[in-house]
Amino acid sequence: MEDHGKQLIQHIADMQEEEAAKLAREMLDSGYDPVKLLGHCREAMEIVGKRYEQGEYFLPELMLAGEMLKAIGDMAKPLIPQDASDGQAAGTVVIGTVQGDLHDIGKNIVVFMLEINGFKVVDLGIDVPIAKFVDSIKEHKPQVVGLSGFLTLAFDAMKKTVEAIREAGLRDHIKVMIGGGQVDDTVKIYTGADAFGLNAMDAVSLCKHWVPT
Amino acid sequence: MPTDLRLSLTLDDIVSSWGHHTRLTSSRGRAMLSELLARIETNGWVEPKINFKVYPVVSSGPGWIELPGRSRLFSTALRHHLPGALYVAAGVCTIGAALEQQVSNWFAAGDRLRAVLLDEIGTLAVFRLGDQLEERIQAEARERGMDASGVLSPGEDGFDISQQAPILELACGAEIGVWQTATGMLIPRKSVSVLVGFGTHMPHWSRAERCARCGARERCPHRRPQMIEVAK
Repeated sequence: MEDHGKQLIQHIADMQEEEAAKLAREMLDSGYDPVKLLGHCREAMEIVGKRYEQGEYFLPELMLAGEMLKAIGDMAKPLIPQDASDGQAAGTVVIGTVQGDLHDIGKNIVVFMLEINGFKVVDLGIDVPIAKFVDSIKEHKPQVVGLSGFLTLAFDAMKKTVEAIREAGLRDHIKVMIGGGQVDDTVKIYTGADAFGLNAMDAVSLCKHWVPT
Repeated sequence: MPTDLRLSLTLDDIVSSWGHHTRLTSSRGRAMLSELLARIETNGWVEPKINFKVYPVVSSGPGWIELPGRSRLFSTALRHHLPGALYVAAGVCTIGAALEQQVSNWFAAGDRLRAVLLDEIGTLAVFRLGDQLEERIQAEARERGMDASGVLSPGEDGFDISQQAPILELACGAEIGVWQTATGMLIPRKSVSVLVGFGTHMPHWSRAERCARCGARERCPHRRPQMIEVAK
């Protein structure tokens, strides 16, 4: 059975979707621990993430791996006893593309990757007014806020959003990550964010670091 | 406005743009790509349109050129990239809004892989259309007995995004349904605006060279050399 685990990791990491789904089904049908199986999935996703960062994989592979993980998760989760799975999300992330920017692809991918990694994500959409971020933070009490923006002019909107969060007295309780386009350490300092991410996997790593599961 | 545009992409074009090592193409993704290409054709999700206009350069100085009607373009890139330009062509191209609307619809419906694949196809399509725009501008320069420079686009290093509005206006983007937001973003999003200089011995550069000097190169999801070659 341990060999099956390794094989499952390899199938997912190598984008062998049908083989991965079939093996996962067989493993669960023969009584394999569903929690352990999901652990293999996470391990496989880490390999996919590394290949993505190294430029071997691109967005479609990342999304396909995410879909495989979701499909296998849907098979395994109903088999996990209630006391082993309390249904709690790893943490809550409020995310949106800042005011004045309509780009949504990158943000949508980050949302998906966070969700399959166990986070509850409140997606505010695109061209999000500053007040909407503040209201959403009050309502959902997230641990992390993600500000997305592709345009360089979005940096001003990010800065104003962070300032508004601070003025509302909410800044000390949350971490702010920015992403999209040309963000770097200089932009992070300019906007008053805590960190920046260059891709969806960075966003997941940051959230996992800030909200240990 | 040219109306004889043809923009067709094949499965091999898409696969090649990702590089031949990609593993997705051997699984469900390959079938999905074929399906998407067929649906683009059937539903008319790609509506290629280009427009460009040529203007004489009235005067120029360090970092600016003046066109008729006292309109001026400003950029540190102009002196270096369009030295001695006698005319400039302002152009814009778009594949329309239908494809990106479908991408949004699929994301909203949770069909994310299909959405990302369609978006990738759209990006490659607008790259190719941009190449057609450049070719037609070059042909116009030849007809006038001049050389065309390489292409500059607002937002590139040295050509500030603030120049998007004047370029779009000069290119008469509204004639093909392209407009810009207050922050300089083109709508539909799968659109590109360009400025090209006409003159003698104008410097020329390829898409690969534009990519090589782009500040976002290290993090750009489209930095793949294969995509650049396919777009050619």
